[in-house]
Amino acid sequence: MDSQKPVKNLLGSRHNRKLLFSRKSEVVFIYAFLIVFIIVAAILSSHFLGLRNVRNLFSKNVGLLLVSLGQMFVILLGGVDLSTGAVISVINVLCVSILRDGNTGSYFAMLVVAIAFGALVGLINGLLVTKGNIQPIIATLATQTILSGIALYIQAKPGGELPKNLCNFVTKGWNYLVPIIIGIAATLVIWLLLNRTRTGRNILAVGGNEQAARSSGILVDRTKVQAFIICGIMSALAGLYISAYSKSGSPIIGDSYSQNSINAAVIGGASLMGGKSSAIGCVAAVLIIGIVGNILNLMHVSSYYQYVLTGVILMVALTMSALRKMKQ
Amino acid sequence: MKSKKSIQVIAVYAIMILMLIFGNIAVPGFISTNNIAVILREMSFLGICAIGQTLAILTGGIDLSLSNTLLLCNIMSAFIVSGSDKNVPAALLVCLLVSTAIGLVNFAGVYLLHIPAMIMTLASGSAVYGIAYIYCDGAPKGKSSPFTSALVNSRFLGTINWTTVIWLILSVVIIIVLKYSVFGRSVYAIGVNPVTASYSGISVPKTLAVIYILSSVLAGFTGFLFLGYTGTAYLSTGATYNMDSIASVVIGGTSIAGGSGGYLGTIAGVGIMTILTSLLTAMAVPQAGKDIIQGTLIIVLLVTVYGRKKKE
Repeated sequence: MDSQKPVKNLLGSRHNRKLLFSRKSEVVFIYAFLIVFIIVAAILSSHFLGLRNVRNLFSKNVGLLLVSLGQMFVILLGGVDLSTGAVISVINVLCVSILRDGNTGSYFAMLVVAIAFGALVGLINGLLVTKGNIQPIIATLATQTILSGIALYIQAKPGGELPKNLCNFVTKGWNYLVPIIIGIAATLVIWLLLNRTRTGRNILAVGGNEQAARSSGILVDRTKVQAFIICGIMSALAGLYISAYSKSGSPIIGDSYSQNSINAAVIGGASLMGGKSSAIGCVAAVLIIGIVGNILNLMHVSSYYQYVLTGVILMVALTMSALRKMKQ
Repeated sequence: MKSKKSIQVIAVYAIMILMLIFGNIAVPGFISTNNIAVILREMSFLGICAIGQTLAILTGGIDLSLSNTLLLCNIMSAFIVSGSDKNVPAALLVCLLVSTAIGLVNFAGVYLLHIPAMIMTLASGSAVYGIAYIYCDGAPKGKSSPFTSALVNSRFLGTINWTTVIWLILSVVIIIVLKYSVFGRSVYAIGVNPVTASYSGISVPKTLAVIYILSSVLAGFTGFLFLGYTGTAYLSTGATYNMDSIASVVIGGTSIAGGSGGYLGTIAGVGIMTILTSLLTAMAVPQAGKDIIQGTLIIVLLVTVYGRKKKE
C-alpha cells in the first residue's frame, strides 16, 4: 500500500481539496479554540505569558499528552481505555522500587520494564476485547481495578524518592527543552504511526467501518489488539514522565489520568463513534486542559473550578462539533 | 435465544448463591439473618443506582454522571437537613430538582446533539463533581436527622431495613414496567435500533428523556439515603458507583450494545458485587487484594457466562 499516492491525488482536484480541508477543519477549529484560551488567560493574568509560567505549563502537561496520544488509538476504534491511569500508577510505584540514584543500569532497566509492562497490559486488554468478546469499557474497567490493586500491593502508601538528577533532567533539562522535545517527538511518532504506516491505516479503517475493513481483508482483531498495545505503551511512558515530574511514589498518582486522557483525546477531535482523530488536535486539547488548571492556579482560584470548567469545555467542544456536523 | 438469556440469568443467580455459601464456609455466620439484612441494605444503594444504569445501557447509552450526582445530592441533603426532621422535605425537593436538571442536560446532549452518551455523561459528571466541591467548599457540613437515619437503620417487621423495602418495591415496579408497558418495550426497541424505533411510532425523545432523568433522580435519591447511612456527608461518597453499577448491569446479562437484558439480572449482578466486597472485608483482605480479586472476578464471570456469544 503506497500511502503517498492518494494524498497527491487528493490535492489534485479542487473538489478533493475542499474535502481535505473539511477533514482538517476540526483541527483548525480546536486551534482557534486554543488561541482564544491563550488570549483570555493572558488578559486574566499578567504572569501567564511569562517565561517561567510557559515553561511550567509545558513541563507539567507532557505526561498528559503522552497518555492522551495513546488513548486516541482506542477511542479511534470506538472504545475507551479506562486502565491508562492505573498503568501510570503501577509504573510510578515500580520506579520507586527499581530506580537507584546514579545507577544508569537501573534507568535502562526501568525503561524496558515500563515498555514491556505497558505492552502486556495492552495485549491483555486487546485479547479480552477481541477473544473474550467483552466491551472495551468493561474490559478496561476490570483491568483498571486489578492494576490499582497491584499498585497498592507494591506500595500501599505514598512515599519514596526518585533520583533527583534524572527527574530534573527529564522534566527541566537543557533549559526546559527536554520535555518539549519529548512532547514533539511523541506527537511526531504517533502522527507517523497513524498516517504513514499500515498499522495506523488499518486502525483508521477499522474505526471508520469495521465491516468494510473486514471485507477488504484487514485482520480486525489483530488491529484492535495493536491499538490497545500502543495505548498501553504510551500510558507506561506517561507513567515514567509523571513519576519524574512528581519525584516520588504514590499508588494513586494516575487516577485522574484515565478521565483526563479521554477528555483530551475527545476535545482534540477524536470522535467517540470511531474512525476519526488527530495527534495534532490532541496537542491543542492537552494545552487547553493545562491552561485551565494553570490560570486557575495563577488567579488563586480553588482548583475545584477546574472540574466544572473542564466539563463545560468538553460539552462546548462537543456541542460545536455536533452543530457543525448537523449543518453539513 | 430467549431461553439462552434466561439460562444466563439463572447462572448468575447460582453464582451469587454459591458465593454466599462459600462466604459462610470462610466466615461462619456470613449468611445469618442479621448479616443478610446488612448485605441487602448495601445492595439497596447500588441497586437503586443500577436501575437507571440498566435503563440507560438498555437503550445503548450509559450514565457516567450518576456517582457524582449521588455525591452532590448527598452533600446538599446533609447541609439542608442538618439534623432536623422538618428540613427533610426541602432536602428531598432540592435533590429532585438538581438531579432532574442534570438528567435533562444529559438527555439534551445525547438526543439533541447526538453526543455519545459515554462522553456526554463523563463531561456533565465532571462538572457536577466540581459543583459538589464548590458547594461545600471542600468540606461537607451538616448531619443526618432522626428520620433519615431511621430510613436506613430501623427495620421493617424486625428483619429488613426500610431502604431495602424501598429498593424491592422499585425493583418489582421496574421489572414489570420493562416487561409489560409501552415504555418498557420502547426502551428495548431504541436499544436495538433507534431509527427503526422512531419509524415504528415510538417517541424516542420522550423515552430517552425519562430514562436519563430517572437515572439522575434515582442517583440523587441514593445520595439522600446515604445521608442516613453515613450520618454526614463525605467527599468520597459513591465514588465507585459508576463502575460498580456498570459492572452489575453487565454481569447481570444486559448487553452494553443495548437492546437485550433486564433488571432481574442486574439484581444478581448487584448481589455479586456487594457480597464480594462484604466477604473480602469480613475476611480482612487488604484493599490491594480486594481490587485484584474484584477485577479478576468480573473478567472471569463475563468470559465464562457470556464470552462465547460471537462464535454461534
